[in-house]
Amino acid sequence: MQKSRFMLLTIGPAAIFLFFLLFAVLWSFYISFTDFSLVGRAARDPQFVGFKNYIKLFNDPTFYNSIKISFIFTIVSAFIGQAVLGLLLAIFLKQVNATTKVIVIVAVTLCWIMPDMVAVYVWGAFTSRSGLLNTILNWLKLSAVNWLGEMPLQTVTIANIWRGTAFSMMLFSSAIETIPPHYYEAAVVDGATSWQKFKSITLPLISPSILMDLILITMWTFGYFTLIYGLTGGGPGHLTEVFPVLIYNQAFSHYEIGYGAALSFIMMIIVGCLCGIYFILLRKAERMVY
Amino acid sequence: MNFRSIPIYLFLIIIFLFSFLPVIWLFLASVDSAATQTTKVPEYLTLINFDKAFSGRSLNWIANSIIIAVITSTLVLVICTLAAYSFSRLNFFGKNFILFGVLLLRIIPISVFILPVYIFFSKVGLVNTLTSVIISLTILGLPFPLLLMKGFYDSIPIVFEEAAWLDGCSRIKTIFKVLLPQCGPGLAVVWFMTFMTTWGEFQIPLVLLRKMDMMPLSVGIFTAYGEHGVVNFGLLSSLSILYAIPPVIMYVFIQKYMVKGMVGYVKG
Repeated sequence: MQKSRFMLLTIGPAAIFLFFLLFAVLWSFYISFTDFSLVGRAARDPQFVGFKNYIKLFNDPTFYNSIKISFIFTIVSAFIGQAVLGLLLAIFLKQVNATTKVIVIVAVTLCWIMPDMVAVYVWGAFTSRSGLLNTILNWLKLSAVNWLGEMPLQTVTIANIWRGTAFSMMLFSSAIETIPPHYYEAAVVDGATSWQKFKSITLPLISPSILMDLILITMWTFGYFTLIYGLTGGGPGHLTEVFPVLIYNQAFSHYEIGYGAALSFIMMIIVGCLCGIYFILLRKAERMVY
Repeated sequence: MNFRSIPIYLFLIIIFLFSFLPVIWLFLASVDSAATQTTKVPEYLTLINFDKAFSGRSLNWIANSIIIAVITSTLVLVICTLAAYSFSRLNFFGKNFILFGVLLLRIIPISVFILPVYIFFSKVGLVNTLTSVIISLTILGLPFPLLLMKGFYDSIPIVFEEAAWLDGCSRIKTIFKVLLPQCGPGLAVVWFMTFMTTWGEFQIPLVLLRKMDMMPLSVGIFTAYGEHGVVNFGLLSSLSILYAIPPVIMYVFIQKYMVKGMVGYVKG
């Protein structure tokens, strides 16, 4: 009795907040079966429309477009960009002198630690017509490019690599530090090259960290709204309309809350599947190492 | 430096330039009274932009950001300090299930919850209030500190509390008198981390706050940047620098825990 009263006292506040979230999610699940809208008749008196939103969704080319854009953005900027660059940085920074190391780490980390909106603002100016990027191109006698107009997806992808590499770098650095140095010493005695040391010692031993990194950065990148919305708003056209931006645009630019709610649930399912796959892989990787 | 390390240094120089070049403009523009998007050294240095940042609507945004971030992080800290105790010290039905749920909640992108939260607050009539933003950010900010605090508690042996109980100390008192003093930096880490995420949050306030004078810095800078007509780049740059200072300072204090915390407790 004593125990349950105590639990109520401690967990109670947290439970109220978390139940609120659950409640809100269930409510919006219901909303996704209505034509609830921000304007017009449907705002005052939303009607139950069954699976209409979901049927519309699966016939909507912008939906498939967003899935495609989201996956391209996530795979290129998180997998190829942040993870690979982060791993290279973590390995190379071990081999240089302390000053260089500190300077590079500070510069890379600063990009990650500044608020989202500052990153948007900085990149907006950097890639603008009269921005530094075009100034540099002019120095090199190349013609200026309207970055966010002509190659928007490439630009936001690179901006996201710039923004997020620090996390992977730090995660991999701390993973590499835990590898006992005598492993490498033994390998050197056996005459191993740098590549062999990396392939046979470093890579297998940090594989759980790599997977963990991939889980976190894919989820973050897949759900990353601010950078893309701030730089392009999903445009021009639908060229950079990743999933979170699509949800926002449908709900708050086209005022179709019901349809936006349906999109949210599809996104929840996609994210859930990705999480599931990753956790299974993680279990396997950990069993292999330990 | 031997011959083989040249490619490594070359790579690091490129990464350094890639990281640093976009930011140069921000610093130069912030001390230029006639700043444009072009990167150039201002003719004369001035602090007038910083002065302007502390007046008018930008002062409002600064105040809103501080209110939202301070209240949210304090709420999260109090709630987590209590809840983490039960998750760490007691066994009850469904504990692991709930912990796994909290864990998932931490990984799922915020965009998934944005509409549920908006629909709820628009029905209750709390849209355009700081309260709605604080409540939503508290909820979305809970999972991670909860797991972090549980980790801190788990690392403290239970014998200290048992000794306190024998001396007649109640359970709730042991949290404050025995556990928390031993958590040391833990409380600061939780508070700072929540502050940093809340401070930078953009999507929730964007959706919930539509009035200019209610906005925090993130939405304010975005709105001012997208305004038609002449954008005051000098003012916005100085405001952005001011906006970036708190998270950078806090990061210096808690960097040791940052990555460890973000990763360690995913394993559950």
